[in-house]
Amino acid sequence: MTGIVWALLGAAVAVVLSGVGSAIGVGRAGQASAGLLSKDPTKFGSVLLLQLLPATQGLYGFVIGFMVFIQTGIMGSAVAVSKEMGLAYFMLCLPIAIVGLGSAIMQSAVAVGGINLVGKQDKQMGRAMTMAVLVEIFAIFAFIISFLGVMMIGGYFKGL
Amino acid sequence: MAIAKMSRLRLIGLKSDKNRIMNALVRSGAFEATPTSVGERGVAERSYLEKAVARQAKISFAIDWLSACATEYLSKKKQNESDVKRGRAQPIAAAPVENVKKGGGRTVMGYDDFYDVAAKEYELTAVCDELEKLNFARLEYKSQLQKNRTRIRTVAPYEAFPLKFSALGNGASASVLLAYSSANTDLSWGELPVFSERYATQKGTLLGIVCRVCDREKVTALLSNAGFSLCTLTDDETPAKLIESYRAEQRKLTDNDTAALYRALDYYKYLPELKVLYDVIGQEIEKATVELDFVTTDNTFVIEGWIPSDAAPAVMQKIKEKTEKIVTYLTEPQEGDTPPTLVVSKKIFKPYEDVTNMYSVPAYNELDPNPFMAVFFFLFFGIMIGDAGYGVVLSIAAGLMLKFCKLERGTSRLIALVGMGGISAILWGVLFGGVFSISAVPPLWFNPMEEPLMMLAVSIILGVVQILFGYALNSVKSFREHRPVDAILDSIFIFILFGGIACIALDMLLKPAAPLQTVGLALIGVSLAGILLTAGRHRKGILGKIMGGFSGLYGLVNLLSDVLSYARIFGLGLASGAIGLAFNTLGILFFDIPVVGYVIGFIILIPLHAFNIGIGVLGAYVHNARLQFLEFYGKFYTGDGRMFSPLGEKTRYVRFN
Repeated sequence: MTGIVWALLGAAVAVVLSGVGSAIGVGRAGQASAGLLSKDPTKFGSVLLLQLLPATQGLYGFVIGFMVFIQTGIMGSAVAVSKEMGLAYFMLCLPIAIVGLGSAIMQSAVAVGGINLVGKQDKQMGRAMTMAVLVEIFAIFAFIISFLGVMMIGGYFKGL
Repeated sequence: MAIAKMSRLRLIGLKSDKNRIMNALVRSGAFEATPTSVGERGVAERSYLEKAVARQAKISFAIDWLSACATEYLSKKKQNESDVKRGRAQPIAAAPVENVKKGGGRTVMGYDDFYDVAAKEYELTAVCDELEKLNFARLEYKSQLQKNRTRIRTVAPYEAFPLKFSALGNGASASVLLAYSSANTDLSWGELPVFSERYATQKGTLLGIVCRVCDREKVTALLSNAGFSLCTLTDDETPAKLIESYRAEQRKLTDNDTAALYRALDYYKYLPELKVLYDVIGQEIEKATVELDFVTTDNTFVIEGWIPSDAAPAVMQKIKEKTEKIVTYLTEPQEGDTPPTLVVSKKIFKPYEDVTNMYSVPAYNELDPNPFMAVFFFLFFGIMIGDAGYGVVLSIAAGLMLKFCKLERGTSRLIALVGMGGISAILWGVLFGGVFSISAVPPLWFNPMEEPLMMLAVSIILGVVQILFGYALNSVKSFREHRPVDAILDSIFIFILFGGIACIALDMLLKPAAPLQTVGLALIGVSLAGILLTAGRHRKGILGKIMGGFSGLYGLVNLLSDVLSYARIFGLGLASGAIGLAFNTLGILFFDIPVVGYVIGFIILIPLHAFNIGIGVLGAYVHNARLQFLEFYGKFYTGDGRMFSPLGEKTRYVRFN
């Protein structure tokens, strides 16, 4: 496989895995939300917030995929991508792909718990939210690593 | 900008003045009742309370039912309007019902209007009685309609049968039968002398049969084998006439039901007053519940509760205007009391109170954390959005909503919070050169996309500032609690540690001639040694103190993870910028199309950016709140207070201006 194919494989993996994770996450949280709303429709606002939390991982993956497009010249000015460079892009996409998948699914589990909690006790919204957000930091770390890597690896190869 | 001082009010008054005193306390909106702590409580008289609850239930039913009727009418009208437009129906009669806007919150009104409605209770109760009657009538109509529908369904298959049902049965020598099968079946009678006629039906087979009485059983057996069932109706009327009469009755019932609906809607004009009355009685219930806890004698009663010290003289004055015959004691909270928390902030900090309360209400004796948190919340919100264009959109939208929409207090505070965040986003957006993620805009300071490490450093440094601020506040708290040694030892080494790290960082960045690195290392050494020596000072025994020292050192790992947590500011800021950039790239693809290119491009770009703003605000709000709750409040904040909830505040439809 040529360099650009590896790089694109990376972009695809980043978007696909984190997107699948977010889809599963938002889907599960949505089911729990709908169940709660059947009893108490006034809680839509708080429940929507909790349901949306696992959506961000998919966005991070999307950004990384997009950055790979820009850096490799799929969009904008074309760049010669050697095989090593392409493999490097692929590797750098893995953190957000894998961590995004796992953290979105686990975050949805906490969000579902939080939705049940809010259903029983109105005042616990802040805590439910905080617990769910705790899971996200790992996706953010992975995103930062992927992002910094994808943005800088081109410069590294140029300097070689 | 602090937590209000509370005083405990104990008031002794005459029972004959009780209502006036209670009303004055409710109107002050500054009194929270607690059970009386002196004397013996008599057996509480609950019957008044129970009656009030029943009265409220009646009003509550009327409100719900009227609203349901209005909804029914409105949906009917909508259906009817579209039918009329297509020329399929005549317009239905109008009813005095306006399209109710959802939301909008509770009605704002003054106490005088509020009690005016209370005086109308007799009239309004009569309305409720009438509505209850109408409800019963409509239920009755509905059940009759249902019954009728079943009857029609029973007779419908026989509609084409020309004789009366009473003609069925056995004569002297011949039997007349009517049989129906839902399937399309042909039947052969074999040797039996049977006359049968098939009648037209929409579906299935309808047979009229004449046979000898002696053959009846055989015929019946044949029929049931073929899946027919015999008609058992005996009405002295033909099926067609019967159905006609049922249908007529059906129309009459529907008309009656509609008439009842319109009669109910004639009372719709009372709905606002009913809602107010609901709260009037709600207040009575609240007062009666509180009064259960009063100590009373034959002629006097004692009431106790919390009152903000600043408001106390004015409230006393108000009560004295009503009656002079009271004795009051105002005392400071005693040891062991748990006074409620009332946060008094400047208006600009009000929205941030809700963020804190979402986590935990401040304790009564605590420092009010809101002003400090508000500054950081404001700053972080802006960086996480990081775009001046988005900031302008957010602050203008929030401003317009606050100006033109009638909102509940909680909602308007949330909107104000986001609006202020928008202003912060404008500031940071100008610094970072972010305006709708257009890459051509030059930054005033640096572009985070091009210098992500700088952005990371800014986030971490802001985080360190906040964490150190948290430690400083912890020291202030310890001083307030008269623990000066803790105040100094708990935080000084952290400050030294970060001072040392800062020296080393400066050394790496600037490479000055001064021996900064050595100074930094020395500072770090001093701080680590200090923590090791002092962290275990509250433990017992030498071993305990040593262990405590080491666990203090280990605690620094948590500090590290706290600091790293601020990387989310960087992550979210970059993510929202990068997503915006991606959307712009998509939109610009269309600009090349001649003439309509820009139109299509903007039609695509606007919802995409709106989506990005939405996700950005959500992320900025929740992650920001989390940073405040865990990283900042974790250092000094206790919380676990109880919110001040004055008498008469728990209303559903009304709030007071």
